[in-house]
This record gives sequence, structure tokens and C-alpha cells, in this order.
Amino acid sequence: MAVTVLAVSGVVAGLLAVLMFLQKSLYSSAICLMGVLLQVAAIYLLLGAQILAFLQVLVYAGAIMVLIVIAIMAAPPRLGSLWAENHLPSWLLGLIFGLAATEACLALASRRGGSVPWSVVTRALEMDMAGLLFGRYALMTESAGLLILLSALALLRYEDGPR
Amino acid sequence: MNAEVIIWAISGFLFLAGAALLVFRRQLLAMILGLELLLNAAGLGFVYYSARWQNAEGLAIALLVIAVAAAEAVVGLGFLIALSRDGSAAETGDIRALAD
Repeated sequence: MAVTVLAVSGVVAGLLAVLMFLQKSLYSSAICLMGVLLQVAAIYLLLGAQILAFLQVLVYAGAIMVLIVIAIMAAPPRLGSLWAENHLPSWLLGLIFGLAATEACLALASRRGGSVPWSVVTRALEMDMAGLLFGRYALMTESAGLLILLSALALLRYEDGPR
Repeated sequence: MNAEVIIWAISGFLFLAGAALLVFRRQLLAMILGLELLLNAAGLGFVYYSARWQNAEGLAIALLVIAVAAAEAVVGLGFLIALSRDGSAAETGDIRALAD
């Protein structure tokens, strides 16, 4: 059962990725990307990585998607020279939502069924990850945080004037 | 079909879709969306093999990838908005600031 859920979430993610590529409208592409990100979060949950799934929803499907939508709103409307002319057909949307609903039902059923047939991220492994992030990888963790801060500050600086 | 094959298929397909967005689309924003897809495909592999080999380093790297993706999105989208102020940089061929 759990393998089926994994396969269905993979199919939904793949379909949404293809649609993302084919869409002319950037809004549609962004919505498809959000669907892919949520499917990846679901796969993280199936693999037992709850913290990463939570961060995936919070950072990717939340913060980054808000940034992307704001950027789309702020960008000039010059979409005339694109090669893609496809629009999202309603039957395909129905199929994707149907697959996602099936996946959710199967996930609930497999959760009642017990364990999954693959190795999962255990609580001890997540504790090890925290130890690594604030131990051996502390410099990298600090650098990532500093990178985000510097990028935000650079934007503010650019707002004052690029030259 | 076992889980490893499925994860490889998902990861590979997402990576290909991201690379296709990056190569074939002309809009800068679509290219940034493709980059996010590439990073997600990589993260998926890290998490699966971290669970399989019970090694926390993959999880730590996946977390750092999420942080770097956030920084990349801030820089990329901010740069794009700044460039498109004059209405000339929605597509890759329009940017001449570094070439001139």
C-alpha cells in the first residue's frame, strides 16, 4: 500500500512538472510548482523525515512561493513571444486532483496498516542531523543564514540606488 | 517495483523537467522556477539515501539545500524585479546590462 502511495505521489509530481513546463502563464506555472513542492513534502513524510517535510511546506511552498507570486505581479506583462501556447485543460486538472485525492486516501489507509516497507528517517537520525548542523556543519549553517541576510540587505541597498 | 526505483524515477523526472524549464523557456521567472525544481530533485535523493543508510549527513545537506534555495530565490527574484523596472528584462535576450 505504501509503495502505491509513493508511486501515486510521484506520478502527480511528474504530471505537475510537465504542466509547469508547458504552461504559457507564469501564474499557472507557479501553481504547478507549488503542487510539485507539496508532493515532495508528502514524499518526505512517507520517508519519515517530518522536520524536512514541515520545512519544505513552510519555506518552499510558503515563503518562496509568496516571493515568486509577488515577482510575477511586479514583472512587466510581456508574454507575447513565448513558444508555449498550451492552457490547462479541465480534464487534466480533474485527473490531477483525483490522483491527489486517491493518494491522500491511500496514505490514510496505509497509516492505519502499520509500517512502510523501506527504511525511514528515525527520531535518532533527526537528532543526529541537528547535531551535525550545529556541530561539524556549523560554519555551513551560519553561512546559509548569513547568505539569506546578505541577499535581503543587498536588495534594500539596491532600493536606495544601484550606483 | 521497489521504493528505490520509484524515488530514482521521481527525482530524475523532476530534474529533467527543471533542466528543460531552464534551457527551453525564455522567461527569467520560469527559469527560476526550473532552478527550484532542480534543487528539489536533488533534495529528494539526499533524504531517501539518508534514510536508507541511516546517515544524518544527507538530511543535513537537504536542509542546507532548502536554505540556499531560499537565498537564491530572494536574490534571483529581487534582481529580476530590479531589472524589470524599466520594462525591458522579462526575457533572457533582453538583458544587456553586463554585455554592454
